[in-house]
Amino acid sequence: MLVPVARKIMDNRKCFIERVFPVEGVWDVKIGDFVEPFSRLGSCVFSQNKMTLPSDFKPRDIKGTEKFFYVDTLLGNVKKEKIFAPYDGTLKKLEDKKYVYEENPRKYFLLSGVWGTVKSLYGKSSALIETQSKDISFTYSTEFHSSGELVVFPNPSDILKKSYLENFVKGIKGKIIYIGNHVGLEVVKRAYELGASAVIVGSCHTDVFNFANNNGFSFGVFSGFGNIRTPEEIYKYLSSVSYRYVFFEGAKNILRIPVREEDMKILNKKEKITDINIINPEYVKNVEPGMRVQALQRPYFGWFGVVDRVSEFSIFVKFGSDERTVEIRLPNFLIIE
Amino acid sequence: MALITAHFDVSGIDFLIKKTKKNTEFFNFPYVYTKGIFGNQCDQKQFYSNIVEKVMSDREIKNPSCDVLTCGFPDSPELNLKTKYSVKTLDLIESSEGIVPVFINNKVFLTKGMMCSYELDEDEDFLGNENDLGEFDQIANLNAYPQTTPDDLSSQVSLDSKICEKIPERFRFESGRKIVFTGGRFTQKILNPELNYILILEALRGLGVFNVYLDSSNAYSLLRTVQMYDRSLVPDIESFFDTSGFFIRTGGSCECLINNGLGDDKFIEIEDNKVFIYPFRSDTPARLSIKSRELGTIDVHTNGGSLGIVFDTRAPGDSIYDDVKLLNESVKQFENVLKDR
Repeated sequence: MLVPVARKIMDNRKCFIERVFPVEGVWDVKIGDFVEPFSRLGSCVFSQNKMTLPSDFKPRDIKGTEKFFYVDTLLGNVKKEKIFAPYDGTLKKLEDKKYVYEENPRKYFLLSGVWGTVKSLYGKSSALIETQSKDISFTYSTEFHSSGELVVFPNPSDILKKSYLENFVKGIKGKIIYIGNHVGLEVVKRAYELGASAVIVGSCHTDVFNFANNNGFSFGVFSGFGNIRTPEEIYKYLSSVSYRYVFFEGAKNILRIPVREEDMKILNKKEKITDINIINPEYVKNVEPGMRVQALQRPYFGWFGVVDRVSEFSIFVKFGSDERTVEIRLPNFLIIE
Repeated sequence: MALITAHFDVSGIDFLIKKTKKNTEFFNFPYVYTKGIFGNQCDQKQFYSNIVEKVMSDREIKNPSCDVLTCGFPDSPELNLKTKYSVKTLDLIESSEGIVPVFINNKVFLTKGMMCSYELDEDEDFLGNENDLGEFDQIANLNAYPQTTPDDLSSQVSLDSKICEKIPERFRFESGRKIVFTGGRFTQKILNPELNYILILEALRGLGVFNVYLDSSNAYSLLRTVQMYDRSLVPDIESFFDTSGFFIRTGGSCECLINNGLGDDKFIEIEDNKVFIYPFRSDTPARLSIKSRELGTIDVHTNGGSLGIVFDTRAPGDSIYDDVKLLNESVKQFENVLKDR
């Protein structure tokens, strides 16, 4: 019985990551330089925060079309609520008579985010770095690209997720958040409002995915639709690289995690993660007893188990420590390596 | 020289392998490439090339001494192997001769002059709910894991009914034709095979009599591809299909006299909105005299088939999927016939 082999985490020994300035900048590196995640590639100057004020906002003491404010000084009022400047910046009146408050331009350092070698520099805008990574596949993802620091929640309960977003992590703006085994619409909406760069999760319902897709939000699902746990190996690996700068590549259905070259070798021995470039992996194998499989059949959808025996059109699988076997029909399972 | 033909569908791949001119083997690989499962390992081209090579090596066929032909819906994918001939399923169906092919998979209903496509997640009511892996999630997972088959009868019924909803109401098959039902939907090993025949009943639009064949190995597409490449390799394709039976759609109550020439004539009277299966298979054709308000009186001959003679007295436009009682009765009947086969 020929069955495809799914490999959730793959070593990618040669890949290219593009790092881009928000506005034109100045390079601190040259082609051929070796860089590490916190190496500065270059810098540029731009306003990094902007606050659009509501239409009923009444500014305090502004005569022209713009005025400078120091942090924590009073900008104006929205009805009876006082609005204070969150940072040093300029209040600007727009043509439609609405107001925006822009932070003063500050120096922004573009960090490498990866261990690798600068391969090319494109004008004053972007750099291409040759590196190595571990690529984790999403079963489903929106086709957007984003990057940011990875924050891993410890699979909290539904009640805690929103509270984690708002209080536990200090500022989720620009971060890629692994939110748990399952996520609901309300939590994803909140993450989007708070400016998260991406949300990754074990499973969700279709309304959550549709929301992310319609709003251009990077969103990835590891297991599928419904209420399905994240594969243990993925959760463990994400936890081990928490706070690393990672890349969400939705068009390729992968989360790309940069690693040191030497880390790949060590992990290969320990975790038996298949290397995409060293061996030519078999994409299909004959299923045999003892192999690890993922069931795609209710009520075991998404579960991992071990093949006990193989019949003509089905296999019998043991899940966890349960001694009983469950029949899973072909093609409702995949071999997992 | 060996010949391997591959048909790439939306839920699986079917192969026709001819090691010699006389030897023909059909093989089904019930999986397809999806970016979500294999995107971090390989691309579609590498994956499918690897599968074809594996099928060849398992049969000790060497690549240089084998002609590779491909067909597929919506198109046959690119391979790293040199292919001699490649064609779209749509073109195979449009160029059909004699027997009428009806190609159904989880995305499309396709027959000569008619194509209705269906996206699993296009419905407004396809939003998720809070149920743990409810029906909506299950259908959504079919997009992520297109090879999977539903786990219960109601999910399969729901999926099939969504495909049939797309067939235009005015669409009719011409009475008296031989019709073969083919495509990925019939190659999948579903939990309740009797639902294949419910789907056929629902898709068989128009009143009249039809010789129905079931193709459970995508043989139609594979053999037509070979025919288009070299007609001498497959002179007759009808012999590769299972003759399911003689389907009679009357549009209302009917009477039928079955004369099998042995002297034990049978008279059957069927009220409207019923499905009735009369098991019959014989080398000597039986003569049927059918009388109904819509069809008038017609005399036909049939050899029956693995199911027999199937009477359907539903009014045109009535869906079997909307009538739970009739659906359950019909499923039971098909189940019993298949058990006795």
